[in-house]
Amino acid sequence: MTIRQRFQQVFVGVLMLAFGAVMIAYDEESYPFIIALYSLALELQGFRLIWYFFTMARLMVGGKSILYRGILFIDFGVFTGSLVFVPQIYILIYLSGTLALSAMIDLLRSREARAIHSPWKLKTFQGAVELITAVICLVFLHSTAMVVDIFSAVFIFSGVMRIVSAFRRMPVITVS
Amino acid sequence: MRTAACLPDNSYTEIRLRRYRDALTISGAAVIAFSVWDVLKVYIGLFLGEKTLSDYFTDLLPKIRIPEGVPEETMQIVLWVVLLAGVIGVSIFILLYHLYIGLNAMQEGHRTVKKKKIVYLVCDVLSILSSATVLFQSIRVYFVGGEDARQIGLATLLVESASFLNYVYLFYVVLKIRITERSAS
Amino acid sequence: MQGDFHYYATYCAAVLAGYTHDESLSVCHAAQLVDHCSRSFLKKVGGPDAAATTQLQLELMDARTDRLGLCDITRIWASFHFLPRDLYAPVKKGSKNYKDKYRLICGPNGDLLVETVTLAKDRGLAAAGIAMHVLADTWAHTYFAGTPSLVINNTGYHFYELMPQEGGGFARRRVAFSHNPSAKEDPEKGVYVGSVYQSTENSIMNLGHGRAGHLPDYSYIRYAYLPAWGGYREIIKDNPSDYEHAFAQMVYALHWLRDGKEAFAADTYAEDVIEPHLDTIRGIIDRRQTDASDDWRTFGERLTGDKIPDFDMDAHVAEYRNAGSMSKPDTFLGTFFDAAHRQKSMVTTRIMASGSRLAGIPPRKMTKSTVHAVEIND
Repeated sequence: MTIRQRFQQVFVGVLMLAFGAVMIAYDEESYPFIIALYSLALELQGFRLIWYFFTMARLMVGGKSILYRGILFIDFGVFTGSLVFVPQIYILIYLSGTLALSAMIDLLRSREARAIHSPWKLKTFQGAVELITAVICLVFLHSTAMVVDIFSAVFIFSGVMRIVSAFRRMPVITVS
Repeated sequence: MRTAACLPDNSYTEIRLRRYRDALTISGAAVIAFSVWDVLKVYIGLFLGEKTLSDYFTDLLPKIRIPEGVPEETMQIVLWVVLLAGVIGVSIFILLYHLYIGLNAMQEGHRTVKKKKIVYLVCDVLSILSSATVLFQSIRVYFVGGEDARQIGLATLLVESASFLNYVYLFYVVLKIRITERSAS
Repeated sequence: MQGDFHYYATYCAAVLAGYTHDESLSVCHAAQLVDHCSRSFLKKVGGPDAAATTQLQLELMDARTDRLGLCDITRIWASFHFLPRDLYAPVKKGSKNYKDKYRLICGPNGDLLVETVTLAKDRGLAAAGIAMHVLADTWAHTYFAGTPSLVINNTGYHFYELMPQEGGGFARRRVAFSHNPSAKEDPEKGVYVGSVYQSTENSIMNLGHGRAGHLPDYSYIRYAYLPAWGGYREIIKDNPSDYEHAFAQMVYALHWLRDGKEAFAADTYAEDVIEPHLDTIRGIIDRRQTDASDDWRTFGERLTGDKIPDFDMDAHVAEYRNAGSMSKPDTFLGTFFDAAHRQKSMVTTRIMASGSRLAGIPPRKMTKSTVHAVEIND
């Protein structure tokens, strides 16, 4: 990992820790915060696609679709940001669904990894944790404060993992 | 050693035609994507937004004169049905209309139809006119200000401009394809 | 290319180049092992991580696509499966990243091919096998780059198989790729499997010829398509012609590795050697089948009169495992790992020397904690 990438990892990790802390501190009031975060992510993705179009994709056959995609993402982000009045339950269902999907993918991949004698335990653990979190969220859907706490914990956990991985030694093949 | 059995046609005209056809396919897909997103936005706005369909219903109800002998509850149900039918009907029409333009453009781009169609181009011209009107109105509101100004963000303007330019570009590309094809033949 | 060409056809080429049955088996075993020597295999065998010549689908799915992850992928795929044709190709438009990726496009008879074959000289049969794998793939994988890139490796709607007609000429049949990896390919119905479109530039789905499915690996096929980088210029990939060139060039290269005195020459083919067998070779190449192993095997066995065993990736594992640390380098797998090291190091160095950082970042740019890793001495 280069110094810049390490710095990025730590920065994102610290941000996630901060988000987790804010969510625990403000409980249900932090919903606009979650929406703002989601909206910002979509807008950034839109700008990233537009940048990608002008630097690379404009030269590609069929690359114009990237530009349209970027514009739609920005609009999607701005529109999501305006939905601060959305009932919380919809956001929770959406977030739990995303988590469950990611868990299923991890579990399927760990099964494949096991079949070919590759490392599979960490992936299974990750998938199981995600799946359990998603199920707990759905069970406590009506106790929004509890669900916010669960998501805060997930955020803090991910933040710590990122920071740890930023300082982990990694084998790199160099040419001297 | 044997050489390649056939060679590609990479004449200037053929390359230009490929470029235009690809642009037409993407423009057609964009017409559909923009309209689906517009309709979705309307629905999300009406059910989850700041002013929901229920609010419109509450605003409308006192303004309607209830005929004698008709219970208020019946009238409420009728109004709900009319409102929902109106929203669903208009959105289906908008979707089908744009689907018609988009799919025809994609078919012409992919060359899966031999007959040159005119009607979807007429629809495209109508869309150019309507989106130009909406865009002009949005720009006016955005710059002149007013109460609605806050609701029209720069991103919405961006999408409206992109949608308008897409309709124009689609028309331009179809013209270019047909002219190039005619001159080539 | 797949086992039919890398294993059985390489065996035939080695025999025609003058190698004995056993030598030819070693050459073709090494050539085929390049498609199996993944990190999982190396872990099982106890070989050096840096000798990986391929990545399994699962390894790829887990591969990082940050700068260093991409370097690792590029080193493996550009060195062994998509050897760049011209690292200094003129590109007028685009960002530096675009130009760097464009210059990784694979093709036959480039300077790197000459270096690849030259590097294998006097280094044993495993090194020759690796070089033959790389050489053959330059013909099959032409026009695709061994790095994940949407703007280079993507394919689109304009993709046609050219079907030979009885009266001569070709008819076009559009290829609509299925994205279900477990689906069975059916050349008669034009059912082929390809990776799914991913709009992310560095997605693994955009590595090599994934977007064109296995079509580059079938010797019989001719197809026309618009490469993402080609500015709407159509390319017709004539595999029967390319595979014939690949075979004839392998015979020449193997002959040169054995007895060559002068420098290895690109664009040179052992036409005279294969001439007596041309009808058989063309018959195998042109036959509409997704696996020509049986045909190549029959041809090979007819050439030597010996039986060619099925490829077994574990064939030399016990020898390597049981050898002491001093004698490991002299085992078959030891020489294979060493040759793989050298090849990867050579290609990486050349890519870095061209100013591109896609295959590696000079060590001085790295943090102290990352440099402890395995090092390859060129």
